[in-house]
Parts: sequence; structure tokens; C-alpha cells
Amino acid sequence: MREVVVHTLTDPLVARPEFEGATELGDGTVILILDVPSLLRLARKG
Amino acid sequence: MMVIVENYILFEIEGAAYAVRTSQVEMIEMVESITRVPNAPGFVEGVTAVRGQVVPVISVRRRFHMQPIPLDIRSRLVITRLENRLVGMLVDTAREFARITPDQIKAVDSLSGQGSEYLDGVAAMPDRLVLLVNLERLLSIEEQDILSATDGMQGEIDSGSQVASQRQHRLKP
Repeated sequence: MREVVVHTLTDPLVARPEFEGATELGDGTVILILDVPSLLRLARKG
Repeated sequence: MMVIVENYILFEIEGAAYAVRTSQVEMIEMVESITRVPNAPGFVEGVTAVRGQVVPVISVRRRFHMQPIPLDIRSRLVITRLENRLVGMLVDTAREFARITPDQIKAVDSLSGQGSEYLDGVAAMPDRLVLLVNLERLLSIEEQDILSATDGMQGEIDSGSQVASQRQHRLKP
């Protein structure tokens, strides 16, 4: 487990309901954080 | 009469010179790693970390309907500031400044071709032509894309994964 700083993806170019935000790893790589409840909602809508 | 000289930062796409106002550019960076964002519009390369912030990156080549090229040591990210947004533009290379006076600038409506909808004009420099980029239009997202963010998820995911498989994001050491 680790603590991360979550940046929200608010820019219209990358704002997606599937992602809660993004975080920067120690090596400078950015990883996206899935918004699981929102994903499930999207999947249910089919 | 006072002549307003504007400073521009030049970048290159497929051998052609493009310019954005220096006042709209925050910094120019080497390309380290870009993380793809699934289901983002096709011209969006992804997101990258710039000084503690996560910023979207667009491919100017894709925006201009040109073939993307692999990243190399000349590739640059031109980090632009537009109102409160920070957006990176992935370009073939960027390494020059230029001062451009209004009398050097010609309107662009007679121009046609790839990407001309994102241009404000053409500046005739002594040694070459420089295309002036309309940043607002370049960084805008079509209404279509905004709508598809909430509707028609299935089709979106399919087209997104096709785009994904064609991409290469890591700069080889």
C-alpha cells in the first residue's frame, strides 16, 4: 500500500468518467486511477 | 506609428515551421513518458507530469491529420498556457524564437490543406514562411467529443482501443 497525491483530470481533453484522477510515480511516470463505481455504472448502462 | 513586435516560439512539424506566441508558452521540455488516456479524443497523446502537475498532451501531427512519427531525441513538448489550462503540444522539434511584426503576417484564408483550420496566418520571414498557430482552436475539443463522453460508451471503447494499439509512447533509451 502507498499514499499518493491524486490530481483530478479536469481538462476537457482528458476528463473521462472512467478515471478518478492520476498520480505521479517516483520515476516521473503518470498512472491513471480508475473510478470503479463509475465504471460499473457505465457497464450497467451497456 | 508604433509597430507591435511579438515574440514567438517556433516549432517544427514535417519540416515546416509553426509559431505560437511566447506569452502563451510556459516551457519547453524533453519528452519523457506519456501515459495514454483510454477513450480520449484521437489527437490526445495522453497525460504527462510537468513540475508536479499532470497535464494533457496533444499530438500536433494527429491534430493536423498527419502521420505520427516515433519519439526521438529532437521531440519536444511545448507546454502552453491558455486561460487556466496547461496543455502540452507534442512536436517534432522546437528550438527557436522569432520576432514577427504585423506587416509580415498574411491572412490564411487562401491557404488550404492539412491543419489550415488551426492557423491564424502566415508570416513571411526573410528565409522562410512561418505558420501562426491559433492555440484556442488547436486545443479545443469538438462538441462531438464532449457528447460522446457521456453517450455511446460502447462504440467509444472500441475505437479507443484501436487507436491505443497503434501508439508508441516510451522514448527508447
